[in-house]
Amino acid sequence: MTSPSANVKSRGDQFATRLETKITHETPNRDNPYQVECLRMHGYEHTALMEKCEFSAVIFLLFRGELPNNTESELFKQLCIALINPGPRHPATQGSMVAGVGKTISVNVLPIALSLYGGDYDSAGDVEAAMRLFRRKSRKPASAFVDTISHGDGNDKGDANDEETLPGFGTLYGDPDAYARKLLEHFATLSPTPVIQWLLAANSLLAEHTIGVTKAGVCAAVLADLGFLPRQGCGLMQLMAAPGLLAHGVEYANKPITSMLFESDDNYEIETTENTLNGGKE
Amino acid sequence: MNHQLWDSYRGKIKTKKGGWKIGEKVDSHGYDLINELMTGYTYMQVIVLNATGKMVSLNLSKWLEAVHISMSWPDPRIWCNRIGALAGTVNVNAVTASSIGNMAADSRAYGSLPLLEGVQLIQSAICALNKGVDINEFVDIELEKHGGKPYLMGFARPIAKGDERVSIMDIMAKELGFTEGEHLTAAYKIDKILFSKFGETINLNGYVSAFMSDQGFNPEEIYRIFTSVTISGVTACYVDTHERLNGAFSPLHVNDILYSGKGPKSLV
Repeated sequence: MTSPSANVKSRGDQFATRLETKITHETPNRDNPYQVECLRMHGYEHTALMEKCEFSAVIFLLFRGELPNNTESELFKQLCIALINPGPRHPATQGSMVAGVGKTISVNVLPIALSLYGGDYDSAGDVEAAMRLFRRKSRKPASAFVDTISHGDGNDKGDANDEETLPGFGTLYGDPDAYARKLLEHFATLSPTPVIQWLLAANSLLAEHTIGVTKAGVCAAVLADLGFLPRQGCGLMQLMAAPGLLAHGVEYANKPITSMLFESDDNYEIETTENTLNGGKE
Repeated sequence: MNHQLWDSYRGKIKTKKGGWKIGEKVDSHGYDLINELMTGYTYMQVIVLNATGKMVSLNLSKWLEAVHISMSWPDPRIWCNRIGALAGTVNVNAVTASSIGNMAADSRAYGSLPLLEGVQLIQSAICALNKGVDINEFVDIELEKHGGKPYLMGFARPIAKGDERVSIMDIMAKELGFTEGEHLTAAYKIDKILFSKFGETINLNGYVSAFMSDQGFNPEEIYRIFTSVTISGVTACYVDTHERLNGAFSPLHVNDILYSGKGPKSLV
């Protein structure tokens, strides 16, 4: 009998034999070809960046390929701080605390929190989709966008109450996110750039639909105006939130396990059982 | 103010899955985990139970276990496995290594996530056929969505043409007493059309999507059953590199990287 594997043929794809990058240029150490003598990022020497640049400006450089000008630098720095701490009630922060108090190995605390922050509810999960939506729709007045939502028209929207179809907009615990609106208004005052201003207008028009901008939406608008690509958006928002997420987890790392929530049996309700054995438990 | 709904959850946990009743039992979907599931069921049956709330037959659990084996190859060139191997070479812990490799397989190109699209495709095929659409017409519509290329999820695959796992799984299914349902029949018809036009065949995703649809599962349930389908291969690749010299997996000289960016710049 012939093995089924005999019928499988390689496509003969030509894979790269070298990695290639436009970001990092390393020159080798004279004695060890695996070690670095000099490192440049988008042309700038590493230690010079250390001496003369803000942390947020170097993040900007890595993703955009250029250092920010003064206006861009201020906007990006303020976005980093705006999103730096989702707060102790956020599920991602609670996850960080659980990992900390549960004595999860230290290096896993931040990855756990960041993965939780990758959802699309009050998190970074839909920044990419929001950036695509905003970049496309902000070419026309916000009223045109809101009007198409009202009529359930368009590929990416549908019913305005269906939050999943409107990245960057939604509700937080039943109502528009008031703090996200406050952040948006702050950025609108700071920056006359088109997507932020479009979002501010859209947000006020959407009030009658009982939805509003989310923090991911604010992030998406600022990043879009700064020229970042949609695919960079989710990770950047996670990166910006990382300090706050980690700080809360580490705060709990030395506490006893009893300092974390563990609901009493009285507050633990098993609603129904779903047991089925080929359709129903026998 | 519409937050009242959340107030009923504040300070309490509601679950339909079960829980630990200390000193009494561990309830899992109505089963006693310690005295019932541990002794009377397979691990794969409990995986499906946790993922879907459904207890499947022993024979289906055997078939599902074989799928898991077929998706975990210890070849570190495969992307999720490469992450496991890289984790080993920098001495990450085994749990982390396996978890992050598994996360990598939540990919639009391979691993667990394409099952969602694969199941949606074959289930939409059945909907179309039930409305009187001809299978050739359905394939043409799908091909048009992909610019005429045979990129139907569940058919064709990266790197190689053909998928040796399909016939083995099909033989096993028959030996376990499963008969071909409407989804699998449709999948084989699509396979035949794509083979005649492009030389492409059904892959494991397409086969599993159709077979599991015939067993009554929806796309999300199938995706959830296979959340760890590649993890064992990742672990194997991690173990291999972890037991070697630090940094010995894929070491690169500085000059192995091709820099194609800007020339030197000075800060003013």
